[in-house]
Parts: sequence; C-alpha cells; structure tokens
Amino acid sequence: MCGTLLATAGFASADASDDYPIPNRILKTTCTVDQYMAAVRDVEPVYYERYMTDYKNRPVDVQDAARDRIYWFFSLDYAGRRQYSEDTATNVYYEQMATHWGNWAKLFFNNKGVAAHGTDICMNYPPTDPSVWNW
Amino acid sequence: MRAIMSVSGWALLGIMVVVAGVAVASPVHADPDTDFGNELHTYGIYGQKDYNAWIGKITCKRLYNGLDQDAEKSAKFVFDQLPKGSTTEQAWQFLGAAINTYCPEQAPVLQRATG
Repeated sequence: MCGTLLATAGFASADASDDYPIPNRILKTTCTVDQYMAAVRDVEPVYYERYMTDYKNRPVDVQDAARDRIYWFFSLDYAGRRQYSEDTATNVYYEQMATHWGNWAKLFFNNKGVAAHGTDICMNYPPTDPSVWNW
Repeated sequence: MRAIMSVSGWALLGIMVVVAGVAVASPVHADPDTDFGNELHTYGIYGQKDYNAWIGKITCKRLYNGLDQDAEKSAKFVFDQLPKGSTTEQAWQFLGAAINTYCPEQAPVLQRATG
C-alpha cells in the first residue's frame, strides 16, 4: 500500500519540472506579455514572424481567446504558473485553448532559448504596447 | 567596438555602404533569395540562405510598419541578427542588400542616412 502510494506520487511529480513544459524563465519573469513579445520581436525575429503568421491565420475569436489566455497566465504569480505547468503536463485536455489552436502559446512556452533571449531584455520595453499583436 | 561606435560612425558607414551598394547593384534574377545570399557572400556574410532571407524581409517589414524609423535603427536590428563577431560595416552592407532585393521603395531611408 505504502509502496503504491510512493510510486504514484513519484510518477506524478515527474511529469512536470521547474523548466518543463513551461520554461523556467517564463515562470519567473516579471515582464508583461507586451514587453516579452516586443523583446522577442527584436531578438528572435524569425520565431516571432512565424508565430504571428500562425496567429493571423486563426479566426478572430480564436485570436481573441489566445490573447486573453496568455494575459491571464502572465497575471499569475510564480506558484500559479508552476501549478498551471503541472496541470497542462499531466492532463492533455486541461488547456482548452489548445483544442482550438495547438500552438497558441508557442512564442511563450515551446522554446527555452527564445524564452531566455526574450526575458533577458524584456524589462527594457514599455509595459503596454498593442503593436506587438499587430504584425 | 560596438559600444563605442558613435551615431556619426553608423551614419558614416551607411554612406560608404550605400555608395558601394549602388556600384554593385545587379540585375533582378528569378530567385531573389539566392541572389541575396550570393551578394551577402561577397561581404563575408554566410549562414543559412533561408534565415538570411527571412531577416532581409523582416528588415523591410520593420521599415514599412515604422518599427524601425531610420536606417540606423534598421542597421542595429540587422547587426543583432548577424553571427557574433560580425562588423557594423557588414550590418550596413546587409541592410543595403536587403533593401535593394526586397524593398527598393525603401531606398530613401538609406539616402536620408547619407544626407
């Protein structure tokens, strides 16, 4: 009994880490969505270009939902983001946004290098900049 | 080098590159990405052809939508995308080639930098 519980707990905690599936830099950054996107637009321009092309090819309601969802995520503190990372890692259906657009958060969650380069300098950009969604 | 490069230094490089760019302007070919890559090679800029083409096109996009409002900002954007060890001169050469290849209507931006 005890062994079963331990094994189960160990399995569950292995599903997410402080750097997976969401990069640690994104869990910890104090930048806003707009700051991060403006930074990535400058330092990872091809990655940003591809994400925005994908974004623009979605229906408007999906675009709106994706924007709302990433602003919501960034409104969470570290503990909240870490829990969200755990929830998405352990339950493929947890994030409803992904059923409408699989790569809805690619710019933020999918690439540690992009996350690192963006969060290195994002604090140097204006907290609010609607142009980051208009590309 | 990068830190001490003054604004006037960037502009001076711009002048030299624009003059050189006019001199080597070549006829339009069927595949602009290949021509662009070949021109970059003459400046000692290598790297993946597709990547360089992306950067060239995005450079133009940033000029069109006003994110980069002058040639100096544009050259700095390019410089940040080039491999470590690249020179500011190469950034200006890249910028001149990108404008010639992908957005010749933006040539006045370069001319303003020389003015």
